[in-house]
Amino acid sequence: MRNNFIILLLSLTALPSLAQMPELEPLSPEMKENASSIIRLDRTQVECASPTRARISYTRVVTILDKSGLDEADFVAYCDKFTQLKKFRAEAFSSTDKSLRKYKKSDLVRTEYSSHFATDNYYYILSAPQGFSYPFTMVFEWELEQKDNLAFFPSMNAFTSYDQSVQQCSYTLTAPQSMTIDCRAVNSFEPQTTLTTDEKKQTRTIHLSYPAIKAKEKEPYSPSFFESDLRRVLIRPQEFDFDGYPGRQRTWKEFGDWQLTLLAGRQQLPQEIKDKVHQLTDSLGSDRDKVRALYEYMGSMTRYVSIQLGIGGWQPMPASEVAATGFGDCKALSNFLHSLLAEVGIPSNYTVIRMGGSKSLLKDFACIGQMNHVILQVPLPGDTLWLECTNTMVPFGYVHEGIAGHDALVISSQGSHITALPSYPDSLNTDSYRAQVELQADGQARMTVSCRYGIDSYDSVYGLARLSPLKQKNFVSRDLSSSKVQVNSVTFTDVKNPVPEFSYNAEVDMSYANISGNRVFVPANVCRQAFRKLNSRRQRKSDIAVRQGYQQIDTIDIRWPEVFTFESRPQEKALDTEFGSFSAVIDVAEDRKSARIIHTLKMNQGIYPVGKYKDFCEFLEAVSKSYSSTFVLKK
Amino acid sequence: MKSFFFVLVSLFSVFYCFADDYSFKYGKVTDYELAMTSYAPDTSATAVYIYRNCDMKYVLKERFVLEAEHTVKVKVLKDDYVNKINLTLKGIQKTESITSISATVYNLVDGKVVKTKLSDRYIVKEKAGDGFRIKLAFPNVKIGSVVEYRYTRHTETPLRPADYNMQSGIPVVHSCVEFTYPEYFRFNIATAGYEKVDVSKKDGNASYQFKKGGAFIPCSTTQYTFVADSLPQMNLKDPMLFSPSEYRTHIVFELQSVNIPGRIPVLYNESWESVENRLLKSEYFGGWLGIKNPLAGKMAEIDFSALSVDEKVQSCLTLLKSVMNVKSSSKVMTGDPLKAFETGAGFSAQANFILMSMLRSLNIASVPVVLRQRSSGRLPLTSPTLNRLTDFVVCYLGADNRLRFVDTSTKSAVVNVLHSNNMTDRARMIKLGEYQPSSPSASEFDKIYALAPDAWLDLSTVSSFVEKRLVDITLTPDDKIKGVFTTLFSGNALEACMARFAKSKDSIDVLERKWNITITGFNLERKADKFVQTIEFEKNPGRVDNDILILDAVTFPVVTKSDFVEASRKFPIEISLQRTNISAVTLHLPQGYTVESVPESVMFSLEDKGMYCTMRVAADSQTVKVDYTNRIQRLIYKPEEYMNLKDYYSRLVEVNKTKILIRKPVKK
Repeated sequence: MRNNFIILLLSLTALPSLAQMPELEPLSPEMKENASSIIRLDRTQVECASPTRARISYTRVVTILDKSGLDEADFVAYCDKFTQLKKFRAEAFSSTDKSLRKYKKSDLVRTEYSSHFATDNYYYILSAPQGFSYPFTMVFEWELEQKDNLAFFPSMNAFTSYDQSVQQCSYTLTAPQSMTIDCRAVNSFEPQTTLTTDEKKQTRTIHLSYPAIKAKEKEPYSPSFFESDLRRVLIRPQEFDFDGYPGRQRTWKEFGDWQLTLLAGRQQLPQEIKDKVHQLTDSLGSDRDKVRALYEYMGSMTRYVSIQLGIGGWQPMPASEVAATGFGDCKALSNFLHSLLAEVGIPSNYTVIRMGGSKSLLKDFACIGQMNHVILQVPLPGDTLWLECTNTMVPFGYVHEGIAGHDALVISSQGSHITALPSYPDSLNTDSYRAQVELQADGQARMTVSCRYGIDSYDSVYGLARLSPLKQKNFVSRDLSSSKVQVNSVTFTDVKNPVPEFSYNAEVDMSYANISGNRVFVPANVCRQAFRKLNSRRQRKSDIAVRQGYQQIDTIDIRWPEVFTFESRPQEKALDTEFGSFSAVIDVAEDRKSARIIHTLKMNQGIYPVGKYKDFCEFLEAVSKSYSSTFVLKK
Repeated sequence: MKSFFFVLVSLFSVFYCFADDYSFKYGKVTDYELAMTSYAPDTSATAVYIYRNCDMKYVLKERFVLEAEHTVKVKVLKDDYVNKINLTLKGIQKTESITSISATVYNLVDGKVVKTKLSDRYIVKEKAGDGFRIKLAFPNVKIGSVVEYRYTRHTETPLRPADYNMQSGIPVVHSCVEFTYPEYFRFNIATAGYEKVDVSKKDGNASYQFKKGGAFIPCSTTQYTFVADSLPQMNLKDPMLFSPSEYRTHIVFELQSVNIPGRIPVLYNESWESVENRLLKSEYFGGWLGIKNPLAGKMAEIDFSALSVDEKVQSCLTLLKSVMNVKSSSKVMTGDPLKAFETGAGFSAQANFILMSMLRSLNIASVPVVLRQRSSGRLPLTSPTLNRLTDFVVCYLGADNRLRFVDTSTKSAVVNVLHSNNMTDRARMIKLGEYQPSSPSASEFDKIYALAPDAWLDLSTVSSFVEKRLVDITLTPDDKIKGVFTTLFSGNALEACMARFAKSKDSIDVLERKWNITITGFNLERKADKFVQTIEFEKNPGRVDNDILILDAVTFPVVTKSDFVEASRKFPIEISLQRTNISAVTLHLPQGYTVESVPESVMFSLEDKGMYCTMRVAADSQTVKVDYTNRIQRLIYKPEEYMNLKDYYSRLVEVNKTKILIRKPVKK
């Protein structure tokens, strides 16, 4: 009985009751500026008992100021076979600190729901409460236990999104002195750091904190939050044991060595596949042709199925299993192609990369978790190929925009290393129109139009060729700025070269000119729409980022009927700025019955200082004005 | 004998046309299926269901269990579908199980048929919410593969089959659904959607042993067979339909009653009256009809004596919305309204019960009008249902003796302005019967009931979107435009306005960018049932060519692009709201400036004036007046009217683009 009482007492004191709102610093008006939510307190405490075991306690207090911040009142705990949720409680408070509702662990929904086909992960979820008046505050306290996967510690995420202020954020990690633990802040936002040791317990404690951070508003053409504003600290043990696979990660080479141990013995192919490989390649002369043949063969016999089981999704399915099932994820398919190439003596390297977020890896700080994708590098002499094995519709030899220019870790027994994938110059990143317009007296027109897309634009349109004829026509119809378009015919061409190009040719009847009284307004370029308008009078806070440069050259020939008399034409323009260049060349024929318009826009990829904002607005405005300009004819 | 021969011949001829092509028998794959490279009726199809069958019947275990055996064969035609072939069986409840999963993938390799069976390793069970999902990854699927699979789903509760979708995102060659049930069950069964379904019914016999070792009790059975052939693919993302899935060919099963020997009979949805009765008897609906008015104290501070009935209701609604944050309901039966009230937040169903209690305090009779929100699809008139009701609004008799509706889920909180999702053409008034309060008197309720004799109400035109603009602009001698732009938002425009102007700081920026103007003064004021927005602004003319200025005739175009851009249309077009846009522009010219050209006045409409537009332009030496009106009156259009709508909107856009040319004085 007495024991029961003690257990009861201990369980009651394990997490203090949230009978009242925790004492917090008062909110200053600046913290509310641009904010839809405020992290009042974000405290992480990691107690690492050994290289394979840790207990992590979190306290998070967030005030939701309006509906757009409501997602911040959601709770999600990510768990898997290595990580368990041990404790949870939460409470909602009104703006006057009145308790609105309490939540306990049994209120959480446990779900394995996943977009992957198979994964070890599961989640505990508490959906944001609906209907509370704003502002309200959510207090969350929870505890996770991690076993056998301490290749990394939870990162310190101090500032992770727009429209959110952070009042207090701290992180404390206590670990045995025998473990060497490193911290690395991304984006050079160094936290305040203190180190203490406890000789009696033989432990070392790292304490990290950030001063209050004011919310940042998302502005058009903002630099990537991930690369410019994110305050995150990555924390790694130099040596680790991940599900029985020990490793080191003091350098990327060491990390690569660990990855090699996961790949070992997974390249065996069944004999019939080996036979097929030789049947396909033995008669081919060059290694490049052989790689292409096997890349296409892999595409014809496999498909992408996301399977994230075991060792946190770091170990690929064996090549023999891919051969048997005809599917695999990026790891499995890259390893499979690697095995096919090995069969014909062509070396290749399993390559780990990040899609989305930042293009760069921290070159001086190796740690698991910076990458989320695998491709295959094939280092042919003077011609290194980077192959996307999950989608062989990507032209052979082309580095698609999701990975072009990204850092990658090439895994090699000769020494794994970071390298950057090639990227393409802005001038190859094109979409350009060529059109002939025959205007009629009622303002309607017949137009033959073609558009050519390269590189970045190619990635977003090449799927069009596979749509139904009706959907293809609807695409062309939406692509042109007109109140009514009738697409009579459309054809598509897909040139799958290392620098691929996609194009369409269409013949359309459309509403073209606007007849107002005795004047006819003929648009100069119905293929383009004005840029989204920026407010140049608004005080800009972020630098200006043009994340992707490109070039667009449009040539449009317009002929109008005899009944119309030429009156005026749009202004010609020639702009040359650091953001890019633009020219509008308008050539009216001698008989004044036709004109040629050539619009050439080149946008330069880059980050421009905030002080240039007005110039940037003026540049876009000038281009927009040309795109929406009109000829004036008399009826 | 003659007729039997005829039936035989008919059956033979039906199957003959498929005989060489397809097999609808599980386990048999034809050469044609393996060799086919496209589906002739739709060459864009990425895959085609050769068949999609389901055989449903009740099996007596300890209780009746519904067993549904699904058998499916799909031919993969294009690469896109190779990546979509994995199957996820969703929404499986705790009370359900899936058994007998098997699948075989057939490929033609070097002229030989290669079969690969689905391994148990690639059947994954995943917990999701209270239930689970099962995922299957079929092996060796490539372009040309034929994938055949089957599984059986066992359901204890609910005992009715879920709606069965015969149509899909890819074409279906053949779909056959069989449903057999014993006499203990009564159903309302209907087919819905756009494509033809052949329905046949057959009576049969069965016997069940209700007790172990007991006698087998014979009973009659009913078997329905639904067959649909050559179903086209169906896009379920259609912005011109509230609920595209309503148009998908499917079968609806509504359980009316269960009467199993030795058990208490249970009535479900025998008639709409029985649905109403169930609602009223439910503690989660009828139980809340008599709740105490939690705002009685605050109402005592208001002098209602001089107010009309509509003003009283409006006051109650305003008061309720000032103390309670209301979110749209998804069910009519709801938790305790008073508890929700205490937290300051709740669902519209809860807020409606509180509103009814407030009206009762003022001796105003009010009744619930239950509905299915437009985004969920229409209520089936012939299949009474409780499950498909998602919300309700409150109805009372207005001062003009016409029905008025109150929707607590609206932001604007104006009587007779409903949330557009609640403006269904099929809502049902609930007669309170014995649940009617003693006060107000029964006669007050009877007046309401009398205006809806069959209880069905069309709420689609209760409110409309009304936006009226008054633009007074002056062209200055330095070729600038200065003016005042006043907009009155009422009805559903008020709703939209309240959402848009949640942050006034942003809204000014948005307006400046939208209209390309510089705002020098801004005021937004709520006046009873409307918002009045006043903008003082400056802007540049569209273009200046030597001595000519070009201005937009309507200054602030109302419609700048058409949504009717598709080449053709198969389904009807549903417009969300009746709409009125009025814009009256007056342009004042400085001395010496003259009008060079103005657009012609125009008037055009759809044939029945379902939509019509007028623009009248009048100019004298110093002033140009442009009066623009566009009204949408009709809300549903047939597919064949799509081209008319396309033409109409094209003209509307062109009207909004028309220009005025002003000639500047010649410089001396």
